[in-house]
Amino acid sequence: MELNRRKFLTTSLMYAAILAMSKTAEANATVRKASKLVERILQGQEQPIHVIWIQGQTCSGDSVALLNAVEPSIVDVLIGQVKGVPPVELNYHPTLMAQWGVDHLEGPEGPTAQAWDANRILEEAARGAYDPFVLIVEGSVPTEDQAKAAGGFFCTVGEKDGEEYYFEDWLKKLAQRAAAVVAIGTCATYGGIPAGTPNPTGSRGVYDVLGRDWKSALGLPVINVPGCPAAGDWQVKTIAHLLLTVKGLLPPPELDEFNRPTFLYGETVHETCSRGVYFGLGEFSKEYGAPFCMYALGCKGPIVHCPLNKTGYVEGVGMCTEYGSPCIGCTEPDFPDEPLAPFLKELPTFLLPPETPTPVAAPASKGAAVAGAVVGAIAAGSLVYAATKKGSSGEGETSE
Amino acid sequence: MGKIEVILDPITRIEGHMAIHAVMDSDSRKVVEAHSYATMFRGFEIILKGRDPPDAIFINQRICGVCPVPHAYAAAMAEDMALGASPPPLAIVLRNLTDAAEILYDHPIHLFQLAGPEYSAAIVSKFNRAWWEAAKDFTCEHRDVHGKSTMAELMAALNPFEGDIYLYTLKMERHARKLASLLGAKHPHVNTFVPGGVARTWTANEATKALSMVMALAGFSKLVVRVWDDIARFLYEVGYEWAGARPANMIAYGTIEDPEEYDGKYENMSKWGDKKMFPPGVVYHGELVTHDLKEINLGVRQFVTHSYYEEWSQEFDKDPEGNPLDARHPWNKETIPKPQERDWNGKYSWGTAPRWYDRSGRKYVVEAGPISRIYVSALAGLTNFDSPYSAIHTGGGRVTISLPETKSELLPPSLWEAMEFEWRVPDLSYGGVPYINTIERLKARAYNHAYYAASALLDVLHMIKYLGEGKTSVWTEFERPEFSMGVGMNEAARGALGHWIVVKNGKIHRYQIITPTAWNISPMDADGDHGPVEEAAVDTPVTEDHGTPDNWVGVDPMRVVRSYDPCLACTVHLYLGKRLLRKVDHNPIGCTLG
Repeated sequence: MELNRRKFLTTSLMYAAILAMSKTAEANATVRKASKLVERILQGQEQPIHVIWIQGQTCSGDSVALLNAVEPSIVDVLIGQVKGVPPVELNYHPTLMAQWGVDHLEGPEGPTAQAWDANRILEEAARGAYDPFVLIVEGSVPTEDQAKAAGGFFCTVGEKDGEEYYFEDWLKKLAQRAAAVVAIGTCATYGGIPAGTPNPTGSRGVYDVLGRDWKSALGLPVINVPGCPAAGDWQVKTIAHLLLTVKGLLPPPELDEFNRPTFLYGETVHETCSRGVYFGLGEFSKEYGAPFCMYALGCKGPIVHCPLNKTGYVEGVGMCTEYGSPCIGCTEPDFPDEPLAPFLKELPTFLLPPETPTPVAAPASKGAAVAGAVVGAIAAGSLVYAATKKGSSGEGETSE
Repeated sequence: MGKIEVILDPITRIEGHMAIHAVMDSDSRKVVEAHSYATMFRGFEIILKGRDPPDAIFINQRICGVCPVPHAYAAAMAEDMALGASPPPLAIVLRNLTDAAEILYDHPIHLFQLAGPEYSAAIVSKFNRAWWEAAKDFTCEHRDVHGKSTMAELMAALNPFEGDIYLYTLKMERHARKLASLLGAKHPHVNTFVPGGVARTWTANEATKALSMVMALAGFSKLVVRVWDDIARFLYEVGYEWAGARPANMIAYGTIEDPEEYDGKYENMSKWGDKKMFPPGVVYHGELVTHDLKEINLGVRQFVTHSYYEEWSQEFDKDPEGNPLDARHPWNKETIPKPQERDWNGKYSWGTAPRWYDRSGRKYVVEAGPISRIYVSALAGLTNFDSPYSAIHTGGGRVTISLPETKSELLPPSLWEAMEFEWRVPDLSYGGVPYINTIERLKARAYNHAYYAASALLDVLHMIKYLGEGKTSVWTEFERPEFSMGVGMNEAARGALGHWIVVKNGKIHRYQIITPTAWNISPMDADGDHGPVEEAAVDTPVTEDHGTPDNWVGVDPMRVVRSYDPCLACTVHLYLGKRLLRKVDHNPIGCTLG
């Protein structure tokens, strides 16, 4: 293993300390706190923080992406859980846990069957047996009232004596006790694909179900880690940060207006894309595979907040725009609707943020006609799309 | 004690929300009744209507975070056809490699993290005490490959979050998703599939990275195959061959396109279909009925006789070539949901029943999956190649796969030497009818891993060749026509996956998806014939021997259902699944839209 659990925690604590040091006023106290905590962990005295991971309307993509994490890997974190060693225990995760739901319809289950029943864990968590715990939600939450009116349901998890548990009820019950609630992936944060027009099931993100001004037991709002799916490293970094917040070591992460941690989502794809330079030069790819800016091929990078070009997706490998595929905006609340869709059609220039640098005229030898046309088009308030088309009919040198 | 009736909900360690209702007989120790149903609904095809056609490739992947690439590939093929763009050869190779990279993670995650724990010491020693005793004395044939002398040791190595093989496979699966991310920009949900090719800048730099990564994964295949060879042998020894048994009736659409043959054109579909690395085919009682992809497409039907939908009216009576098109074909199907009171003699399920019909009008109830793929390949004998890296030979009921020497820092030395594997049509028959079972489904999944790895190595060679020849284009421009039809027939990890699109006025007019899990967990059809999973679960022996029946946890029906590697998110894009509860007054799963 690259890192064992203790190393992970120590690393996280060091990370905490480093962050704290940047705020000098609290620095010394935090560092003292951190070293005491490390001591307690090493002596096996620290009480565990529990993690309960539930799934609503999801494709399980965020769970798969979680397994991509290497900084640290989730396995390294969980190895501690299985041995029953504090301080992190993952008590419920539908895709990874050994147990499953068991409900005998004939009468009470025997003790083995009861102990094996996955639903019991959630019931106990809702009663406080796993305090303090961080509740992680993957998948969107349908409006069950619509389904109930039609005589059924949209999403249930488990049943008891033949009666289903609504996912929405689990969420509300568990959130009441949770130290912190983290919504992972664009479905859990903003509704995502299920909430795409016309939103057949009335899907919503967790913070629209609990309320945008909702606060956890620790006084934290719902923390959103969007992405379709959110990269594993983004997930683990956010969770690690919150574990330290629960321990009183770190202030809560700074969030943007959509509750995304700014340490991850503070910049746009466009700002972090090495192809951005071609935007400035007015060199636009006109066919997929070409190495230039993909604005004209539908890239939504200028209006999308996502750290992928900086972090990579798996061990630093995997970046949408760097690799030549247009950003489709999967970390944004509007995904998968306008203005992010149609994905392969150009973003109208009037939607460009005002701070987006305007393309300047490139050296006369290459692409000048296109760049000139783009500058002119933006100045005239028309679409870049039209401009590049005009340009392509001229010299056609701006892509391979 | 008599009948033990249990609801197993949630079924964990699968993709999505699924439950089983099972009745076990504590006297005969058999599963006597089993019903599977899904408990979540989203409504993809409703969300797709009216959108820009290329968006379907991106949206449909989000049906499933475990198997997104085959959805992307099937959607891209449907759009190559509907939007009139034949991808350049390098693009086909890159699509193939992305797809293979996914399978190289998806099969092991099933074998080791999802279904695997049922065969680990943690669960076997708890619920199957007789097996556990037998495992201690069972000598593994392939100790030299996986390093475990006895089955008990091997089972301990499969223990969740503890066993060394469990942990090692997680790491290699990540490596496969890293390869998928190199090719597809990210995984799950790759960002590079577009109509007419791929959106990926690809040079020699990327090619060398991909080669070394595929090579390590080919080495990993050796472990996957040999672990499951030993487990399969053990399961036969303890008498589990009747678990999940049903006749060898299967369907495969085939996958991994030939870069020189595939053009996405409907008129050439039979020709390029035969050139797929895994050929398409329908098998009945162990015999190949057809391997003609166009015939397979036209034979697909969906029934809603027992489902909460209204019948739809036929919009098209001909396919794009003028062949007759059945009203029940997915190009014609319209999803018209109609929630209503459950009636066991009438409509009782949100599941539709996909069935296949031959030209004479005969119906086949078929299952999809890795077993179907490799079975068809072994019978069809269409895939034969030798290359400097790998080889596959098929025919006469056999598949032989050669993998090269794979020295890699990611692999233990026991996986370095070149190896050859042979898969044979299982020697199982009952009353003269060849059958398949849970053991063979699992084992076939392991051999599929090696098959895909050998195929990926060939595609890497193709890729290097095209780059060397300067054939670097990865995209052909597409149109948004006034009217067109397209079909993409591919294989997800768990079996045959079809996407059907009708474009009108440049927008998506209709989109239908039939997933492998839809074939497998389907309810009764118009004739009252049950779907494969329920058929397979019934008569499965109950092996739990840890306590009184009120302590039973249903590990055997669980093993049968999981051997299909069900993917509920895939299936429930369309409907909610079968619901069979004992409480008659209980309302069926309902939704206002399907």
